[in-house]
Formats: sequence, C-alpha cells, structure tokens
Amino acid sequence: MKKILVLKFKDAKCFQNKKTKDFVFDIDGQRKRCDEQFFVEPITVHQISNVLHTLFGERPVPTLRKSLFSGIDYYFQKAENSYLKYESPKKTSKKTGEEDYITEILKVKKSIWNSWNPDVYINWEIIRRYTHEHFDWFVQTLNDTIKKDVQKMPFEEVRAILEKNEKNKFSDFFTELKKLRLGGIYDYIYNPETPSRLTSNFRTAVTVVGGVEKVINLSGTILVPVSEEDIQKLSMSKGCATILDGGFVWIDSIQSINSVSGEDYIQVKKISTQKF
Amino acid sequence: MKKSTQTNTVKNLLVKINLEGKGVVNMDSKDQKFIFNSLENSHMKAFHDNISYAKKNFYKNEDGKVSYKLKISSNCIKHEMYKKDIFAQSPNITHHDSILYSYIASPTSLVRGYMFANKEETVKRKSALSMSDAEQTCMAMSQLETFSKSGEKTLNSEDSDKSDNTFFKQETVGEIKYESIGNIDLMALQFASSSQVFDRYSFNPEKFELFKEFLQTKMPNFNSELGYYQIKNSTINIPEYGFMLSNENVLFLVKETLSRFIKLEIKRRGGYASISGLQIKLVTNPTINTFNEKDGWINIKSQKDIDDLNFETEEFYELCDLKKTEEIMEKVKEKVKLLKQKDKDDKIKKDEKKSEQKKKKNEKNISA
Repeated sequence: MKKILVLKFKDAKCFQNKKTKDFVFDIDGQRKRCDEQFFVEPITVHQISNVLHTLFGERPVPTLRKSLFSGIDYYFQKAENSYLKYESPKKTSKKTGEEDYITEILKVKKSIWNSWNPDVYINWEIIRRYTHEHFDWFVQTLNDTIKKDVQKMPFEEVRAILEKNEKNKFSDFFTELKKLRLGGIYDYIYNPETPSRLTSNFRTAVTVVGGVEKVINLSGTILVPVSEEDIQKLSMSKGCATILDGGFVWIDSIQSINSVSGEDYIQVKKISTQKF
Repeated sequence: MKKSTQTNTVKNLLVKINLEGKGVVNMDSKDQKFIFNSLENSHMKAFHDNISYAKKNFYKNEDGKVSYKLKISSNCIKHEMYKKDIFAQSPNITHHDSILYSYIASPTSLVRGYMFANKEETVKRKSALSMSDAEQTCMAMSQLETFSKSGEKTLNSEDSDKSDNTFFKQETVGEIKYESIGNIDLMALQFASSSQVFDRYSFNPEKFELFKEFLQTKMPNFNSELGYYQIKNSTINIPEYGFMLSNENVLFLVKETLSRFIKLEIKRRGGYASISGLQIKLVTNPTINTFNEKDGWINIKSQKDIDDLNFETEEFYELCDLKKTEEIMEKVKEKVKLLKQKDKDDKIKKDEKKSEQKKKKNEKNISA
C-alpha cells in the first residue's frame, strides 16, 4: 500500500522586496539581486524538490543562482506530485480587497561591505585614524593656532571654530593638509553634512552593517507520496531540512494514504512558477 | 548504490525548549494595526502611528475568526545565544585574514554559520542549528498600554508652550510561557566545504593552516585534514573538497550549543524571558524518532547532564579515492570553462542585439 510522508514546516521566511540593494553570489561572482527574477508564489515545486533532495541525503540545487549540477529527476517528480497546505492566514486589504500574506519585520545583516554609512559623527578617533602618522603634527598645529588643547574639546567644536575663522588665517595649515593628502578634513570643515571622504578611507571605514526588511512568515504541511524503498532510504538519512529562509522542516509522520485528508491542499504541480 | 551500515548511530538531534518570562521581549512593526483594524471587536485596534506591537503568529479558524499568539523569533533566540561571540561586521573583517579566520574558525561559526561577501572571495556556511520561533503556550492575554515620554520645550516661541512630551502605545503582557522546537543538523555540522562546485565555499583551502591554528585554540582536539569527500549513498558522483570533523569534535560542538541553551536569557527594558526547560532527542531513525513520539526525550537540567552526554555520530561523508577524484575534477573544470564561455557568448550576443536595435532606432529617427 502506498504511504504518505507528512512533512511540517514552520517559520519559512520569504523576502519579496524587489527593490532590494542586496547582492547574489554564485559561480559567476557577484551581481545585484534586483536584476534577478522572483517567483510570484513563495513556495513552488523547486523549493519542495530541494527539501526532498536534502531529506533523502542529496545536495539541494540552487533555483535562481547558477549551479554546476542539476537535480535528480526522481525527487523533482516526487515534489510535483506532492501536496501543500499553508497554515499562515492571509489579510484582506480594505482598499483593494486583495488578499496577501501577513508580513513582519526582520532585522537583517548586510552581506556586502561597501555600503558606506552616510550619517557618521566624526570624533577624534576617526581623525586619528584618518591622519595616521600625521596625527601629532595635526593636533600640535591646531593647539598652536587656536591656543587651546583641542583634544579636550569634541572635534565638532574644533570644526566650528575653524569654519568661523577666516580661511586666510589657516591657509598655510590647509595647504599643508592637501599636500599630505588629508584634504578630506578640509572638505568636512566646510561641508559637515557629507563626511564621506573622511569615512570612506580604508582605515576609517564606517559602513552600514544591518537594516530591517519586511518578510512573509509561512508555516504549513507538505504531503509526499512515498514507496517502501523511499521509507527505507529516509530511515538512513538525517530527516530534517530547511525551506526558504530559516524555515524548519521536519518529518511529522508516515501514514497510510487512506488516513490522510487532502482537504485544503493544493497539488504542487499546479502551483504557478511564474516570475516577476 | 552503497548503503550506510551503522543503524544505531545518531543522525540528527531534535531540540525542544521552553521559555518563561514577563512582558514582551520581541517587537514587530506598527503594520499590525492594519490587521487588527480590519477585525471586528478587536481590543488591539489603533489608529495612530506611535504604537509598538509584539511579534506574533496569527491563526484563522474555520469560521474565519482570527486569533494570535505572541512569539519570540528564532533570530532573536539565536542572537541572544551568540551575541557575546559575534562582533560587528565591517570591511576590516574581510580584509584581514587573521581577523576573518579567527572568527570563522570558531565553534560559534561552525554551528551558527556565517557569510562574508567580497568581490574576490565570498565565504559562507549554512547554520547547523535550525529553530522555529518560540510561540506562546499559555493563555496570557496581551493588551495595548499607553505610555508617556517627557521632553524639553522645543519651540523657541513665547506664544507657544509646546514641548517634546509624547504619548505612545505599546503592547504589554504579564507572565508568559513559550515553546520552540528545532534541531542540530549533524550532517551539516560534520563537514566544512571549501569547494565552489556545490556553492558551499566556507573557507579558502590555501589558508587551512591558519584556520586550523585558530580552531585548535578553542577546540584543542581538532586535527582534521583536507581531502575530497563524497556523501554516502549520493547519486551525484562529484567529490567535495573540505574537512570532516571527528566524532569527538561534533560532540564538543553539540555540548557547546546545549550549554548556550541552558544559559539562554533575553532581557529587554519592558520584559524578560529565560529558559525553563530543555529536552533533546537523539535521532537514529528519523521516520520513528519524531517530535510526536513521546519516548526518547532526554531532559537537560544542568551542565552535568550535558557533560554526561555521549553518542556516536553517523558518518555521512566518506573519503574519496584520489585518482578517481582527479579524473572527475578535471571534467568539472572543463564544465566550468564551458559554462563561462557560454555566458560570455550569450552576453556578446545580447550586446550585439542591443546595439543593432539602437542603430535601427537612430535610423528611424533620422528618416523621420
């Protein structure tokens, strides 16, 4: 008698922000994620096929990224013949009447390192790193000109003093700064809103390390018809997998085909693989 | 096809945790108000933006009635477990080998996974620890509470007494209990790949000595060597370059992870949640040892219970024959070359098409 493998999944997160500035990395290197196409449906036959590959001890195959190897047809067909039911409810928009999955906020890390932080408070530590071996000269010159111990003041105050004074008074100082390739400080004094030249230097890099994204959080059940041979192979495997981002998949039970109600389930073959 | 012979070895480790606390520890966005506002008779309705809701799972019954349960996201739980070991991601990490490898060659990274992207080289490892969100298990009822925040007079006008005082609403709850389930994937934990073929490049094989040096400081019995490995029973006959952890190492990492679970405590300004129970199940047959099966759960109450834990892990990978591997890898390299050449040709064709279309457009414009 044919049997049904009941798989449960919980908290599978789906990012659907098409305007993302994130990147994709594969055998071709790096490219923008927004240049890729997204599936309209959060879970398609490809994701379920990968779950089955993992459960049966095979390697999953990237769906949207490039890969050197293709999946195993047997598990892909098995995925097509499976059934899926979501337990996450949808909300109805009051304005349009359209139904959509409920979203939640997720804190994310930025994978790429070259996103400079545009809003940085410049302090003495950044100046020390920026001026590097010229730091002592920089401080001494300012001490002599302003006639105060500048390091006892916040750098923002020093900047304000330099900005208020006539440029002529500090012209030699500024010329020397430019000669030493420290022109970023001059730029910052007169354009404090854009400290990017100071903080995009290798030694003083201040980057955006995280952000927030809206994600759909899905839970549900997958029914997979299995043979005795499949069950035998499953018993030798690890019996767990993941789906989408961080979705935990586990074997709930193996039941006879008559004891499972297929109500509210959709055959995976019928789920659209249309992209947008 | 070869078959694994060891049936009593542990293939997976199921985890069930219980948390107890007071108040909300994991907040969501104000967007939840649109859900509550669309419901009839909801005590969580709100019409202003200065509102904070707790993270929750929503459910709809057969009559269409919507209910909810508060939750702590799995990301929040993992963050609290590892926050002391994970420093800020910055370009300095990817640019300095010693900083990067001191981080990725650590028990934390081997269990939790990582991704450090770079144009030249991206290293990534999938987390061996999967957790579901911890969902409320008791009948505690949350509600919206009004708070105020006082501030100075901000407008510099004699006519106005406006100050920065604000009222805001925040979801609160009393005593609450949560439960989360998950697993420690021993197969993922056991192997670290340095192969681009399977998209699992977790370290540069040329820097393996540096990796080893750092890992040995935290895991002294680590003594694995690089080699070509193949998943037992796998249909795809392409070996993967990397190293396999010994049973001792896997056990060390599992115990280290469980130790973090029993110390788990989430503290926030408005509440806290801490671990009240930890149960694990050693899975030897995943079709029998399931979450539903009541037998086989081990209660972990103290560090001593963790120290006493001992099991043999299934070896999911086997070392490949060098000669065969070299032959296969030559074929793989050829395939990579062909794929890259095909991509280049496709790009050239696309560019040519574009330039032709542009030319035609220009000609049309000129004739018009």
